[in-house]
Amino acid sequence: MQITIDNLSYTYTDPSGQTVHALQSVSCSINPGDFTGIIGRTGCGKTTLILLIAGLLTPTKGHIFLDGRDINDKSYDRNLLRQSIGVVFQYPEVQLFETTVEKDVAFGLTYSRLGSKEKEDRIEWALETMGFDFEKIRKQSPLALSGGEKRRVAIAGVLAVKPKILIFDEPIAGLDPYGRQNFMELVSRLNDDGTTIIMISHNMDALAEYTKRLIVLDEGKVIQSGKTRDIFLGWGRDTRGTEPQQIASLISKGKNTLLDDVVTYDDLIFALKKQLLGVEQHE
Amino acid sequence: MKKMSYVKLSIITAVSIALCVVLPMAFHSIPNAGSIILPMHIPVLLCGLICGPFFGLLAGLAGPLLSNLFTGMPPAAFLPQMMIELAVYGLICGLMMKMIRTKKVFVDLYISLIVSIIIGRVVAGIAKALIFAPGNFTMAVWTTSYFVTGWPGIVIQLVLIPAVVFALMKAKLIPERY
Amino acid sequence: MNKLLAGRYLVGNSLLHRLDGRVKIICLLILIALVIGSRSVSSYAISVSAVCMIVLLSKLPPAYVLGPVGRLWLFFITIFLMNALFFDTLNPLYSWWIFYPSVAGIKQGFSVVVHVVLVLILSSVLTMTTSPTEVTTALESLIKPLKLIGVPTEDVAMIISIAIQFIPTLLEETEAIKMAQIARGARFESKKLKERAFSVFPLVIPIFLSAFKRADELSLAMEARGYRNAKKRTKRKKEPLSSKDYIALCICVALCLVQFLLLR
Repeated sequence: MQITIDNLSYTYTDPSGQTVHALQSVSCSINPGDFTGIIGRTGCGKTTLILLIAGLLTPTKGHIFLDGRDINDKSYDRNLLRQSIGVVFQYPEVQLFETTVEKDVAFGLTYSRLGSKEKEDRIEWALETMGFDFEKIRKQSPLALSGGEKRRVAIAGVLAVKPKILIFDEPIAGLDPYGRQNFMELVSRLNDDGTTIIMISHNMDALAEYTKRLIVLDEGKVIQSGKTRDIFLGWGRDTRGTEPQQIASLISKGKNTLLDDVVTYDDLIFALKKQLLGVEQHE
Repeated sequence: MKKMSYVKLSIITAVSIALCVVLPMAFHSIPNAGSIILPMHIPVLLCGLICGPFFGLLAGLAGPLLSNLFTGMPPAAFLPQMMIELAVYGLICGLMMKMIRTKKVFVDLYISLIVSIIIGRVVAGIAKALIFAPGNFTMAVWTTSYFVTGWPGIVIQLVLIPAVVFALMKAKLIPERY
Repeated sequence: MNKLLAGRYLVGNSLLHRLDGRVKIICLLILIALVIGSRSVSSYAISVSAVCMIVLLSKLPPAYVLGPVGRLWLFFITIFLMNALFFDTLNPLYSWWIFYPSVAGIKQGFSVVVHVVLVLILSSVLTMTTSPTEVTTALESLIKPLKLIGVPTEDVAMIISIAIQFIPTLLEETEAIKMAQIARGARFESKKLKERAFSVFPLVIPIFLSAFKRADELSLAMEARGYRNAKKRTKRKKEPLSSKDYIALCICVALCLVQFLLLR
């Protein structure tokens, strides 16, 4: 599903009476099958942007088009919107409330037009994708699970809907490195299967390794957008980029030839091999 | 974890009072839901069930008062009657839970809820009549009208509140009763 | 969250703003007694003029003060009719079905409405000239005498303070949960009653879970720091009452006395 954002603005009045311009004239597009990262400092409008894309907020100005149709138009089917776009918020485990894992994951499917057998298959698929044994977990209470398990159940709840677009708000915050890697690989697989992924994250390394495109926001405006690699290479010299970039910068100490093509650890290792061992081919 | 400490009970009461202010706001943006589920009643009833009569009474008195101070709801005209009603809810719920031990949590909860709601509504109906329209006939009219119009909310509360209690027990945030 | 924590309070520098919170509450109660005690024309005159004076002294915009009254117009009509039509079933003007309009009923209805309006205005002026924190501090002071009958007033004061601090946090949390559930397809605004009724579960259960989790964490933290009850809590230094506080109290009591004498 093609997302096109046209001149989007969102302004609101905060509790102390001040007018906040959360987003100003943002325009960009996200193509089907993209894996797009959204980055920027805290408070620059990232969460506002995804809430608008998901139709959870109404823009003050501008339009959001999904496959050419304005989602804020009165005739747009809201149910279709919910089924097409899935959102995983930060700390998604707070949304759990049902008596069994199965029922909680099924919640998103309440208004889908699936039969009960199909629903059960979807729930099984979603839970197994998140690493659970379906028969063991299905009747357990989601509230009695461990923190990590709760999070995985919550994400399964969003996956079960099989949305064409998945949005994540800082999904790997608070996860250990193993959890982080598992998660990113899972998301990557979903992307390979055709789901469009939009992810807000502060983790530069994860973004550099997995995303294909980046949108950079600052104070409500888009300041950069394009291929991930290009954006990081543009940064490598003066600001903090990925960890491999920082390492490369430390190693080259002014000579900087090492930095020319380094974004990820693979790049760094290849560049070092090239310099020190004369290896020519990038594996 | 059979009994909660005095400190924990106090903080749970504080949180219940805060929810008396917050829940009506959350439901305010949802048209008509406020009149159906009577959002301020839920934290008070829960507080009474979980923390006992003293804390339940406190939540019932402080909840509507704080809500009026911060959001203007309920309007001051209705405040005394709301405070009385919720105070009775909290108190009776707490007392019932102390006195009834059927070995089945479900049954304990239901009996406590039903008794406290009935008594609370009768008392509130009488209070409302005394304040606004004292007179033998009017008292009967007020009390019955209050009962009759409130029943969808009561039914939802009877389903919702035990569900919350069980969820809290499952999440180990409050101790199991037996 | 400043607007929320201010409630209906309007910042100002009028005489009423500067009175001590406890005095204001006591005067409010005295004046409510004054209003409710009004029966004759002259006592009504005293009550109404007292209330008008109060509104003038508060320097609040009259429209703001009368706002809450205006919003309840339907309620006032209801209680007027309740009294007019049902009050005196023995001496009706005429009767029809279950309705018995009577002169006594109309008088009663009128007086109840006037009483409620006046009390509403008085309490509005209180909340508009006193910030919620001031009100709760004043109340905490005023309930101290209950200690004599065994009520742990310091604990009550602490609980209310903590409740106030939780309000902004829980509100944010509630909004977040609401959004998350809407994203999952919860239908809060459905036209069907059943759907709306069931939609409260995915909202209410997570809110309570989250709130109780915070309660758990806070109580653990407090106990870890040696907290048992509020008896040893550091007390705020109380400001002594000033002359204007005493004058206000005297005037209110005097008005009551005058009305009492008039009744005789």
